[in-house]
Amino acid sequence: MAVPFKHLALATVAIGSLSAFADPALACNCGCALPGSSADMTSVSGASTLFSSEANFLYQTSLSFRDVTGSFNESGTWTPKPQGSSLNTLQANLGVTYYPGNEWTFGLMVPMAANILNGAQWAAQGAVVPIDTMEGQSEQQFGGGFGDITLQTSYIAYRGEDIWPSLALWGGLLMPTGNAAGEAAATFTGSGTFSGQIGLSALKLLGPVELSGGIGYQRPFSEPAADVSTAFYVGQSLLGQFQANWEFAPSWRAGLGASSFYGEMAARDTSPTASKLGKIKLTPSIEWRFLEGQGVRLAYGADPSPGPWVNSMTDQNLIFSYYRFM
Amino acid sequence: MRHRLAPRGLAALALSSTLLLGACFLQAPNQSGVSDGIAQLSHARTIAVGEGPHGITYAGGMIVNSNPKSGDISIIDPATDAVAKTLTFDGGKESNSPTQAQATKDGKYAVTMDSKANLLRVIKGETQAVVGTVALGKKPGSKIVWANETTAYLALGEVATNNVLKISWADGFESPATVEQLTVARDGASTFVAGFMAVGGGYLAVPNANDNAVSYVKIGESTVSTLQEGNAPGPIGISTLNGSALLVYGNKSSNTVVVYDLNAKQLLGKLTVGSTPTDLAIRSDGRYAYVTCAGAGEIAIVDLGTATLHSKVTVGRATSTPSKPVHLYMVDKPAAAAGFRVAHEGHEHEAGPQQVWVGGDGDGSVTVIDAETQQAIAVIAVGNGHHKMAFTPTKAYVSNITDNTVSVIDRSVIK
Repeated sequence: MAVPFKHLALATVAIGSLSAFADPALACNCGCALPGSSADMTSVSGASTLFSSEANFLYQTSLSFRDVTGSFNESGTWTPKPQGSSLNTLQANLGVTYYPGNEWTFGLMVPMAANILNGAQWAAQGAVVPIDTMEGQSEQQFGGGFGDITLQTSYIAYRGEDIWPSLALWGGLLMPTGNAAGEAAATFTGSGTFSGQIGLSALKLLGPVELSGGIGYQRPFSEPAADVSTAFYVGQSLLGQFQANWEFAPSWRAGLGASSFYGEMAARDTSPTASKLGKIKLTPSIEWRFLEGQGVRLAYGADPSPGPWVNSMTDQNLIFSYYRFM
Repeated sequence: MRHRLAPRGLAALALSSTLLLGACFLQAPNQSGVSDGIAQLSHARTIAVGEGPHGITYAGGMIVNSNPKSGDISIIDPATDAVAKTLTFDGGKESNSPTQAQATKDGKYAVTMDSKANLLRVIKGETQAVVGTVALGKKPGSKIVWANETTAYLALGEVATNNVLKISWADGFESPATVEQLTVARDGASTFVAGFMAVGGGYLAVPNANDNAVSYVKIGESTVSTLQEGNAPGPIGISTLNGSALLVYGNKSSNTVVVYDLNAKQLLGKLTVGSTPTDLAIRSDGRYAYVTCAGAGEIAIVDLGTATLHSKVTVGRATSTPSKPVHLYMVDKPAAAAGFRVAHEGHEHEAGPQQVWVGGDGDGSVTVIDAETQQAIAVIAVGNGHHKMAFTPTKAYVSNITDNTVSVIDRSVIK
């Protein structure tokens, strides 16, 4: 039986939340934290999820696998990961969004991650370097735990009419609940700082095509603690995201997302000059809505090169996710 | 009873030993990936030493090898290629972790650094004994850089002030040294992780990976200047090509090499190289810098006359295991042994035909590059793990940190 993609369902798979994908705090810093990929659809602030109003709760869960491919340096030159090295992350996200009425949403996302480092380790500015066996580190490291928990809220400022899209304001708080301290690089799952986000999202339906997108701003509210493994952290950043979904057959949609961030790399000490950071991620996806209010989605995220991207680790992600409105 | 050999006797013994080694020198099985024209060899002998052998040097006719894990120092006699003596210290490995070992400029003494006891030990090669210590108060960086015959600089780790020590043995290495504390860091920095340092052309420079900056001073002055070009600066050197003072350093996170004129305060070039620059040496005439790119399995050769990338040389045994070159040494060719010198990060040299010896930590290899032709000329199979090297006029000794051994290589067969 074909299950149509109503607005409610569309919301679910809008993909690409501003917070999940564009979260530079998770993508850079020491480069060790969670994927920060637009392909992670489990975020609570996916642009179109903000406009849902036909259910009380949205539950989302996903499992993603990340393979680090290399890094851009401060000049935008890309270098592949070290020979013979691999850095992989298996990440699970649990998200819930509460819809108390027609305008507001309140959400919580809890990420968990396991890192597998083989002959390499994270480095500052999102770089990847070979492991230093001189210091007695094991060639293979495994570790993980909870990542940085995100709280978000949104308010629908305008319900779109005629040619105009719907608009929502949103804000979020990223809490440094993930580990960013110590010597064991495989256990790093967090950014080490509190950060806040605000933004504006828009949604427009054009027959079988759904377009959504938004812009945001993120800034840290604290410096990393002294025991955090890197002196660098993400400063003020701009976030951007666009997603297009096309219902090509009953219950089936294909999507393409683009998400990016651009900002400054801050240092625990005042740095003589600020380093910039930024990148874009493209995420094609396919989605099957198998029951009313329930569906699954498979997505692949990768960083195109070349591009005006700096100080960022690059990776490819494979994400499987499930959602349900209740 | 052990007989002391006169220098002439030592030379004769070294020669006979070389002949013996040459006779049993092994031609390694052909590795299909190694280019034609590159000799593929195996080391001649393996010497069992302490645990985790790391720093190694040639001083006073002996090889001095630090063993951080067992907390002791092995003294190897090149005449027999056997451990002649093991120096142990109070508290054993719980209190001692000798990491590095470098020879004094006169070649008679070895200075070893201990990162648990936070001190230097001066070892006289001839007597195989510790003849002096220097308390540091902080964890030492990875190397000493000699300013002259009796004065050296040492960067300390993880401190932002008083982060460089000037150590003088004015009355000789068997007398107490005087230690002067210097601050060579950006004003306002609170942490400083410095394993590297360079001295040359009247300057002293220290990279700080935690600050993305290199701080430098004119020796004898206190005004600190800061250069910020790239992320995670690490290996560093200063070339005095044509009377200049060219600062050269690699950025481990940016995968770039910076060339900067210290006198003119001018950036001459920032060159993209392979993944993860970890070590750097400058040819004796100051013209070329050689940078290990540990994540790319290659050496980047930088022409300092033009501040351009001259070429890249692939190193290692060309097996499925990446070579991971971490350290390299600039060494006089055996034919120039009369003026034999070893350079490693910041040493100054006299000009002469030289070779670059590169340790492959990943595939258990040493690759030798001719510093004139800029081509690899030999690949030698050695033991496993991180490698450091010491050189006599006729042999090379390679520490194998994983195997707890030292590999011996006959240099005479490498042309």
